[in-house]
Amino acid sequence: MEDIREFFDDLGGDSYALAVYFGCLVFLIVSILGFWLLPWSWIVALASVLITFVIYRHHSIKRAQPGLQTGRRWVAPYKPGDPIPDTRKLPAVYFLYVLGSGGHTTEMIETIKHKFQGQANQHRRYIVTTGDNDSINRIIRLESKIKDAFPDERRGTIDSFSIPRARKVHQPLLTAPFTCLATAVHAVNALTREPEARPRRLYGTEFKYPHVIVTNGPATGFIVCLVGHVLKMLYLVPQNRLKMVYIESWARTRTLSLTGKLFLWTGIADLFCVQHRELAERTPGSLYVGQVTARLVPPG
Amino acid sequence: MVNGTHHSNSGEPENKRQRIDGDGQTNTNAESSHDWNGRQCFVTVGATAGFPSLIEEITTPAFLNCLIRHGYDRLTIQCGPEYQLAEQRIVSLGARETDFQLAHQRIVSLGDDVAREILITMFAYTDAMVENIYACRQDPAGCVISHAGSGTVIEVKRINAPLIVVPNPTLMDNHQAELAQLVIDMNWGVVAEIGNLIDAIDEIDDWIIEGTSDNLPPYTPPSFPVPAAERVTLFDWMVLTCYPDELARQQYEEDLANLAANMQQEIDDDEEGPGAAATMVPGQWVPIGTAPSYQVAQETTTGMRID
Repeated sequence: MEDIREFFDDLGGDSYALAVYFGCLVFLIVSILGFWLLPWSWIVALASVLITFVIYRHHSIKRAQPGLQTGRRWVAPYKPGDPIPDTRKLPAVYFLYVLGSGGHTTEMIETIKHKFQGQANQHRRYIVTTGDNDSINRIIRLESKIKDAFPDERRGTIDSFSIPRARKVHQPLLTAPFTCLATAVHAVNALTREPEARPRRLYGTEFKYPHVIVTNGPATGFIVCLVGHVLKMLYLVPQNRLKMVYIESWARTRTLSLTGKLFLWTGIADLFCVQHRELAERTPGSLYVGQVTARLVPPG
Repeated sequence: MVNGTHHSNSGEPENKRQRIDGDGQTNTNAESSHDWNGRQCFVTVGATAGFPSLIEEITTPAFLNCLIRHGYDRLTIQCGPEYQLAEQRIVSLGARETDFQLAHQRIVSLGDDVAREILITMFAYTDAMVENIYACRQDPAGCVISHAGSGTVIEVKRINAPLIVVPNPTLMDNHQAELAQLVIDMNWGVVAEIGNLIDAIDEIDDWIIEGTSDNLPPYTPPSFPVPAAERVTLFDWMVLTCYPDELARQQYEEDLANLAANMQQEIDDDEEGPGAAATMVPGQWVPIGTAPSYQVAQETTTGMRID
């Protein structure tokens, strides 16, 4: 499996995604042909093997997740003198942020501001939905702010991908699967394409895949994470990449959003974070992280 | 729509505001003697979905009258997709164009008196949310009327302007009602519904007069990068999970530091109270990797609650 992945790695650029699509197409054709040509016993046997493989991979990836206790330890309130995680000496730190629209974008920008530190080995990739100029403007403003604060190479490198929206506001759930499929097709490229600012001849394959995907509630984020999970299941992406952090929107104080329920139900997020204590108490398996997006002054 | 979009792209919000004031003052020599320095009301429906019923509510003569009665003379509307609806309704109120050469501004007169005029600025979207909200903050304090969207509420509360929240019930599982409840719980502002906005304007007036808004210190935007004590390190830990050896090493270092702190704590406790030394059995020391003292999610609850 490693050899196959390295083979894809060497192709570079879009060819990785093309190979994935081609593989899916071949799989589809073979299954349709097999459905007509093979006897039922064979179909059942092959389907069982496939389902067993999928379940096994899903659970082996879930076992590698850091777990709730570990997560709680990581969000401990900071006291002066506490050791903080040091990522400056790592060969690469590559974040992928999935932006939604409107409030989701505001929250994500705030989250990025609250987590940012200057280090030369970082790359940031933003996924915006096509036509969402508001989010792009906000990213530009954020990045110029980062550039003001870190004029040197510590600001890292950035790029962005635009993919179609998974579900428009007010779009009925009936037609959502089709738009989600279009999103998924584009997400493969966004997850596997090497950043142009970090070419292979200088950085090797360290920047090939994002380390952490951060998303906070748009349906697009779930699709991107699901695609990432499938890529990991098929051994197309190394197991220690594409860690997923889902942060439930700050607006949800008592109930989960649909995206949140999907993340919790599928369990694909390595950390499922909520920002309100009450919601954390209601949701087993969630990590209370405090209001990371909104550190607000008290009224008055 | 064209005007609104054009305006949103033009940017430079501070200049815009100065332009309104400046032109207003030069205009005093002309037919109108209004210098538009009363309270400002900023209405926003957010960046994503429209909120036609809110737009309809704020363009009724009754609401505008109420605003004027409370000393407002400027109404700024971020209409979203409903720009044309807003424009039609404003024009149907007999609005006249301003002399400012800005097509998206109208003056509505609700009486013969100049004091009964209100300057209405409309646009579909804007890059200048912060500036528009800031204009409502003080000197004199006005109010922001907003849908219960998280983005707007976060920005308004950070600037600490008076806030009226109107949840939009047509969105997915009415999730804005939840944020409205949070606004009530945290005492961040007034929650209104379509139909009782006039009462909300009365209520927010008490809020302003109570001194929460009229004598605030000047607004300082949050610093960037954030100080180390406030920085969120969760994502750095997640990056380290991609490098398991490095993660193990750093967690071990953290454990050692915690252990040292705990032991120091116990020694301090011993010095304070006699007899405490008897309880210092090695087996009872805080073990490595103890969860922090705050326990949050109750894992005893079974199943996920879906309301």
